[in-house]
Amino acid sequence: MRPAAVGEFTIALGLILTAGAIALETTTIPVAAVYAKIGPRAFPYAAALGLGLIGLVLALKAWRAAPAVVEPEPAPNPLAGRALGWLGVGLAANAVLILPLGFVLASTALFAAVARAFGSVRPLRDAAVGFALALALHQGFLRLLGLDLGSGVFARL
Amino acid sequence: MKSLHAVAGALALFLAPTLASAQTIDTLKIMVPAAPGGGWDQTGKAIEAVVKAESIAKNVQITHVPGAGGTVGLPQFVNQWKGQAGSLMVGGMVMAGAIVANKSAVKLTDVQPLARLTGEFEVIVVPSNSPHKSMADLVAALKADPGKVAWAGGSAGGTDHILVGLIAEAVGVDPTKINYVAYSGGGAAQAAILGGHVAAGVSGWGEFAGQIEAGKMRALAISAGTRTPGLNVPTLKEQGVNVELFNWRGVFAPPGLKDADKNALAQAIDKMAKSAAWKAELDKKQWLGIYMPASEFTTYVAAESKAIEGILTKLGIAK
Amino acid sequence: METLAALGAGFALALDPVNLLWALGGVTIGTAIGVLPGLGPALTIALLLPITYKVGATAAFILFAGIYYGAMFGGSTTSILLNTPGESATIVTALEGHRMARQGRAAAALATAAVGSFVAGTIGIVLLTFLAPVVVELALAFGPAEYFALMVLAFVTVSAVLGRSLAKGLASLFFGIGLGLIGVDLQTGQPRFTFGLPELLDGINVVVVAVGLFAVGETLYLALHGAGRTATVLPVGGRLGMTGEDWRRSWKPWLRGAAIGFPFGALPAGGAEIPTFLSYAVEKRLCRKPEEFGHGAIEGVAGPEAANNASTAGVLVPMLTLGLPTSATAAIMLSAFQSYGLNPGPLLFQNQPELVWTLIASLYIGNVMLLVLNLPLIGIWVRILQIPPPWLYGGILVFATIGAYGISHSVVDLVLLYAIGAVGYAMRRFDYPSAPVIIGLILGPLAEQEMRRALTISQGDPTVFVTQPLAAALLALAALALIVPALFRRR
Repeated sequence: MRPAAVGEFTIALGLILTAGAIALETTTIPVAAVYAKIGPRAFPYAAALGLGLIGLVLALKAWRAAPAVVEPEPAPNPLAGRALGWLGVGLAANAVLILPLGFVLASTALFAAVARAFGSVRPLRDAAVGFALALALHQGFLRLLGLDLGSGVFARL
Repeated sequence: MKSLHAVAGALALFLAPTLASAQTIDTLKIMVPAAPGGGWDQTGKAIEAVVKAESIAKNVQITHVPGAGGTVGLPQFVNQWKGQAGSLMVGGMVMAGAIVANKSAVKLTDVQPLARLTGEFEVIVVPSNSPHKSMADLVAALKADPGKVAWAGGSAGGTDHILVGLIAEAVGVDPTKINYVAYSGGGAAQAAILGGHVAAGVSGWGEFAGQIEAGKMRALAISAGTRTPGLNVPTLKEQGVNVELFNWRGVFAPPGLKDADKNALAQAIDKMAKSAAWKAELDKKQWLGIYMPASEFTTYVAAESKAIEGILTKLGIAK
Repeated sequence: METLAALGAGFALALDPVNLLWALGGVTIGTAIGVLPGLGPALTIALLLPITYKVGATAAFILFAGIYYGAMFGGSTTSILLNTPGESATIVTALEGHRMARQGRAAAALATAAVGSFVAGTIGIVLLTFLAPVVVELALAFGPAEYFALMVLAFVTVSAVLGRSLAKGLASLFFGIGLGLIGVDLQTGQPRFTFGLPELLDGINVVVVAVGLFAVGETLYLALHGAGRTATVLPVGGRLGMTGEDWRRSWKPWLRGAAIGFPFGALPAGGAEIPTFLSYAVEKRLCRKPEEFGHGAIEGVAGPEAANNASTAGVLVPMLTLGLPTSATAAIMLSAFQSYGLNPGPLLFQNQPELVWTLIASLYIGNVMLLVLNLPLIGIWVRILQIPPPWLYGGILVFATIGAYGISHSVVDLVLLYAIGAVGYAMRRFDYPSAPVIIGLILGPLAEQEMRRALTISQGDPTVFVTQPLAAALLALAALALIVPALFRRR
């Protein structure tokens, strides 16, 4: 297989596995004794079948090293690993911090980490911009629409 | 009824000194376990407007936790709001049903019922050109062949479905044989009825009131226990179908409250529910003011939960 | 004639300076909310409902209608500039619009979207004014069998948005259908694919999927493939406004988009998304240069943008004539009627003629305001692209957080957003189109539910789809759409 087709093949395999998982999970859907003529399982089976068949076609194409579309290889980014790391940090920080610390601080962390992933080297300035943006949004939504985006530690203020 | 009001009035007079000495709540926190815009949200907002107008609470803070008929919000209310004074959750019959249907681990017995506030009865309608002129006609058709009577209503296992199940049971038809077609929102179900695609429809009175008034739908029966003044629609009971159902809404306190905190909350709600501003709010929204204080409400919630579980099992929704 | 007199009276009230201010406020809030990914008009109006305690009914409805229209205008902006749709009805706009932006033609794309929205919006309101009763009759003729046939037709025509590879497009479509299965089954009340998480019982929100695939996926892709530093600083080229050729290529799609969007909005299960898919498919088929589709064809922006605005007017038809909400926004506006003790039913026109006609008049006014507001804004909007990428994409992810988390306060939704973002990245990397996922997610559940409803009502008799003339005609149309192009290709 050409190197490019390995990725294609993996994705196709993933589709087949997903289809299998859908089919397997469908067998556990409880069927209620109500009047409805078609139960809750019919459509999921059909979806699994469709997805599985397409996965097979795509896997076959990739195996024959003929990707469905000759896609242009994206420009190699020497810093991709580092960017991925910072993005991961940012998204994880946001998800973990948003309940305890609130929207503003979690978003500040997210903003700074994403900026870093995009090559910025001034984390403090980024954090300040992120904080200002998040604070403005939080206050804007609260004052204009009465929507609390999550106050966290600021709840008592 | 009149004498009851008089008694309540006398009691209120008697209790007035203690009520006045009860401190105003600084911040009343209300969890609405649904998205903004729905019935629970409007109940929460009505409470907000009235407690502020009556200076029962200085500030009101509403938090929405939408999802799954309230069963996403309920566990959060039990776990994260535990023991917090001045906290309420809006809920109702829909939540009692969702707990059974979704097999929720947290139940209404895990929170403290404070007060039943409002209710809405359901209405059974047919398209205006339907051959069914009364509930008796519809029941006869149902008995002849339940499969031929398609009902449109809300989601399976919801209030509308429960009412159809109770009717079937009361007239001796197997509830699982009911030809019930579920719709997610009022608009689509109404269109199916207006377009004559189904034989009958069920929903809260408010949803169909406009269509009935305009003569586009014929109301066969309401699910209230007695007739509503000014409304020329007979009840189910009058027509020999022994079913009564309210889509009730009320408020609950979190577990782990100190007795003093719980009493303060109950008193605040009591004062609100008896205020003129609340009455005005009920009139405007066309809600029935079926206020019931904490002690009675606790028994009521338990009984309702049991009845709902029973009918959902018979409908084949719950196991 | 009666209609014109009533409309005139409505205008007299709507042109009252205070009411004009409410309209201006509405369209401004609406535009802002439309620009933000994940926040739609339904939510905004729901949050503003307490205003019904403070102002009169006329002012409140003028405000709400302005928000509804403004959101459709604003939603296209981020689709075009950043490939992150602000509304689910503007996802299709991103397909061609963002390509145009990449070629430096962002201004032309924004202009055709704004003018198209205005033209179609106005056509929609005119149809609402004069044809509402007729359209409503047609809408009520649609039962479950007809809807299912319509969904089949929609499925067939979406092949146009499947991208360059049929197999990959179909894979995306089926992935979307799979996502749409998650949640409680409406007909039987049983949970499907919820893995014990109560947060999944209501299904996956289209907004979370759209924001995840587009906003988060795009950000991941640009960060990982270096394009973030080079390709995103798009040249702000093109002329503010459109060239003569742009106008020539846009006006027919605007009219066709309006013709598709309006009736769909009036259908009780129509919505604003499906007509945008259909409009895109139609424009691609009718375009003289179909090869330009996928590379920034202006027809692909003009048509869908017209369609989503016309559908907005369509939604108001059953809402005002029958009191039927056919969209989430309409449902919330109806609950606002109840806050005023008004019964939103078939008698609304009779009982509250002043209110209804003022509302309709304010739609005309709001539409003009939106055009006047949006054309000069184009110059400002394109400057968004000059924000340094680190801040631009940091900001996009913060906005995405609001869309997914702001209302639900659910970390599950946030994690779901990022997981879908990762899928979106992989799809982009391996050239799987994203739009079919959304189409599958929207059409799949509709098709399933309508088919099962039809078969429940018919007690299991499948001939119901061919014995009802309207359903049969739609299915025949779907068959034609499938066969005819295949015959051409044979040649």
